[in-house]
Amino acid sequence: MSPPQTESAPPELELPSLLERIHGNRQAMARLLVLLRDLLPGRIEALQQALAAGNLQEAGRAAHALRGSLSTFTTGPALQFAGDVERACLALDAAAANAGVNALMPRLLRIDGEVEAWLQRESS
Amino acid sequence: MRAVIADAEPISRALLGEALARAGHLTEVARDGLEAWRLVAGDDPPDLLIADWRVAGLDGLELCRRVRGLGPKAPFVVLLAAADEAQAMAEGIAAGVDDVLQKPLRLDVLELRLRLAARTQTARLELARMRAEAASRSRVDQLTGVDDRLAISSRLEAELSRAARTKSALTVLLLDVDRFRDINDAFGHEAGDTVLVTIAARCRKALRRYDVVGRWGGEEFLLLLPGCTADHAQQLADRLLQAIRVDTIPTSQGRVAITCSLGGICLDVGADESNNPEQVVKAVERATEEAAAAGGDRAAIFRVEAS
Repeated sequence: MSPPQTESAPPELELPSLLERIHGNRQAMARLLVLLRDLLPGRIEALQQALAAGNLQEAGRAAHALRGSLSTFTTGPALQFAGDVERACLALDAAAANAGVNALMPRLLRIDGEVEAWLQRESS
Repeated sequence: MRAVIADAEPISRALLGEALARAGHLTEVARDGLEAWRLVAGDDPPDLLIADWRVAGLDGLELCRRVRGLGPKAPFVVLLAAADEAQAMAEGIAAGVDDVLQKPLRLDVLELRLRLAARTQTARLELARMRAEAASRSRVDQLTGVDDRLAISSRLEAELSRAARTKSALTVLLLDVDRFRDINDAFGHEAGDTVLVTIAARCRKALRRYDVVGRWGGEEFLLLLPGCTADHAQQLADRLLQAIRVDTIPTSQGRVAITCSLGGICLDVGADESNNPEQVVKAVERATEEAAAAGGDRAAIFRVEAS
């Protein structure tokens, strides 16, 4: 599985829009991004574990939490895929939920990279 | 304003905290809906509750339903829901939320809505204060100017509940004017009224600023002495009896010498009776009858210890 990254691929995160929504406060932006970076691994792990255990109810809750964390930063594909996973879990459709996670994972990897890059730029 | 945030999503919480801090509000974060409810229903409720409709423990809708039952001290309630959770917003409005905010949150929108919330809540509290003031004005005994029976009854209930909650003592006294019927017969009802007005004034003067005096009925006054322990109650009762008997009371029909019978109970910290106003009133009535039967101008005070 490799991220669908090309030279011209638009970023996953809509950081300029977020910065505008928080009055251009870059310190607040950094705090929010650190929160996202710290939250994502736990959210992903919870979702994967619930799916592996066949617990779709729990997986639905984990997908909802993941979607909630992402929603401040993006309206793009990652958020859509997280929503697809949540809906598939609610419909008790394990195959669709797993397919959704497969589509979501590369996006989350890119998000992680974008967060790190932004934080590094700010600290330098 | 003081705000309580009930949202499981840390990023939303951070954004809300940012907006509230920028607007100069104090923020408390509840781990879940149940903790939010404990904060809201406590002794010092916040002015604003911001709850995600899917917060664990007690969801935003249920929280809102409960908050609506709190009456005038209820905070302004904002329900948070994702853009695709329109149903939650509709249900929130039906449940009585004051405002709904769509996630993801925007600081600029949030700040505007917080200003509206502050304005609305200030007006609401002012209205509640004016209502309470109007209600208290109508609950004053027209003759003596002290609380009437309804007011002193609710004060008794409130003081009992406060004593139980804050683990403090409370003394309740019932004062009965000795031979009041004879005074009315001999000097007339107008003089009797003057006697009652003077006794109420002397009670208020003899007691502490935060003690409460109410007319229980006819020639009886109920006195609530928060924090007064058995050790001090007898001294206070003697001071009260002395303050009433010390001077004759001038009336249109001449000066009248007055004494009173005083019955009381001192509820120690944790006394079972703390939760039962009727039982407390019966006990002080019995004590007053005892003081009167012993010749009047005396106090019969009993201590109720914690079981």
